[in-house]
Amino acid sequence: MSALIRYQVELLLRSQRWLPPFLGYLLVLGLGVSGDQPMMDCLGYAAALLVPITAWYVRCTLTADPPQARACRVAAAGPARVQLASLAAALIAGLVLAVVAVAAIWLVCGRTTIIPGREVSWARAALAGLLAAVCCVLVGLAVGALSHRPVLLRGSYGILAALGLSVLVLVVPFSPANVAVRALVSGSLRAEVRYPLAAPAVAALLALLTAAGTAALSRRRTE
Amino acid sequence: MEALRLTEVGKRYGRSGPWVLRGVGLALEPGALVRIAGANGSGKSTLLKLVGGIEPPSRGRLRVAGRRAYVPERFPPALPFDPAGYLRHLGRIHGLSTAVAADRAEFWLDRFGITDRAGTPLARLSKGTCQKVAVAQALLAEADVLLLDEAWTGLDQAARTTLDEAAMERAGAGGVVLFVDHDPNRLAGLTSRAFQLRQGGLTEVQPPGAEEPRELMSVLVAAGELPEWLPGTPEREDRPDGTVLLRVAAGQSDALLRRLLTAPAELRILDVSKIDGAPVGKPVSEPADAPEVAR
Repeated sequence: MSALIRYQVELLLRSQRWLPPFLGYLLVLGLGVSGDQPMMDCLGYAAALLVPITAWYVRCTLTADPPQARACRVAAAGPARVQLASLAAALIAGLVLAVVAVAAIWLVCGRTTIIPGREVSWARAALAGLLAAVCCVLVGLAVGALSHRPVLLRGSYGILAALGLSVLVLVVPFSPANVAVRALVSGSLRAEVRYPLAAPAVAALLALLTAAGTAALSRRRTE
Repeated sequence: MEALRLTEVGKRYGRSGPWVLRGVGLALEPGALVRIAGANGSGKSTLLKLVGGIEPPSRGRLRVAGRRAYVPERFPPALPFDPAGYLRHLGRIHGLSTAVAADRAEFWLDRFGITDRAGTPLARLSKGTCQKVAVAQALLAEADVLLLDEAWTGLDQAARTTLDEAAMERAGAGGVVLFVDHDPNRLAGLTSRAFQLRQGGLTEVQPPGAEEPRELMSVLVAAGELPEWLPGTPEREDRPDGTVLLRVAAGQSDALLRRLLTAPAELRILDVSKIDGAPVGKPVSEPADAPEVAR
């Protein structure tokens, strides 16, 4: 399994497919984050964006090698493990991005909350932001896995499905991504840092279930 | 002991697609070198993909013991690796340790004569060289089931011979080798079984070269116990003095000797000689020129 993940990560790096999602994230993040913005709102924005970006990484790792090269790996390791390794590589990419984004926002932003003059602890705000970002990465992983092989076999519908699902999980109340982002934004309004721990737990469960489900499906689905 | 069993296997692509394979039954013993023949589009590649676990069967049951390795018909150069790096990765994915994977990658690159291109990106290599990498990827696994889907296509003559030898070695070491190739004489005389695919059904046919008078070799062995199965399914004669005389097709004598030499049980090869004339001649009494074991 670790051999497959290493292959996927190296493939992602060497093929430069990691770059478009990374640059896209940086660009959209740059539009919303600036020195005079409150840190907690920026963290919420950065976390929310990680849902579609992680789904994009899932697309990258699932379609990283041509079908024949993939067939060689499937024969060697079985379809389920190949599927899980793809998701693991996307998860790693998403988590790296989460850490980078939180660190960058910590450095850039000049204040923590939206209320002038009322600040919260920078470290506690960053921790809450990291929690929300991880939560959104996990939700994005599930979104990506559900919009591509082996669930949706037509690649062209994958992008639409991933975008649609991303919007859905961000706006539907009680979705872990929505809860995590809202906790940051409302925390900024009230100048308090909250850690909604249920959200990442539910997100992790969701990601695990999706990974297990798609791995099981990949054994039975004709490509 | 069966290495592989397909029971009433059917396959179609999509819910309403035509059946590519129907009611396919196949049981193979370890050491089988099997040819799958059939016209274009008769389902040969699909059958190999089913055995390789790349495609699931739509119907029926499929049981394959051990590790599998697959060589696709056309290997895409659109991978951002060099041959050495790619082979090391695939070796590890096949379950080898990093050190063993690196050793075997080096060995197969050398055997195919492309060590000098080990560091060149796959995208810059010729089609034939890429195919060598694809073949090496499967061979370095030393898998229990080796699937060759027209793997010879695009290889030069030397590499074809190497692949022929490697396929025989794999079968000789107890693996099952299934191959598809458009050259009807591919591994003729060495193939242990052959099957024909027609209209989705699989029927066993005479392996190519079997009808010709075979040149036989005899191998005299002193052994308490012989390995459970032997390449080339040799004819066995127990001598009163405790030795065993094995008669095998000349083309498979190398594989047989290799198997005997690497067998865990203690045994000694007393004599290797050519038998003149076809089938079952009397063993020639004079010793052979040189046993073909020192490779």
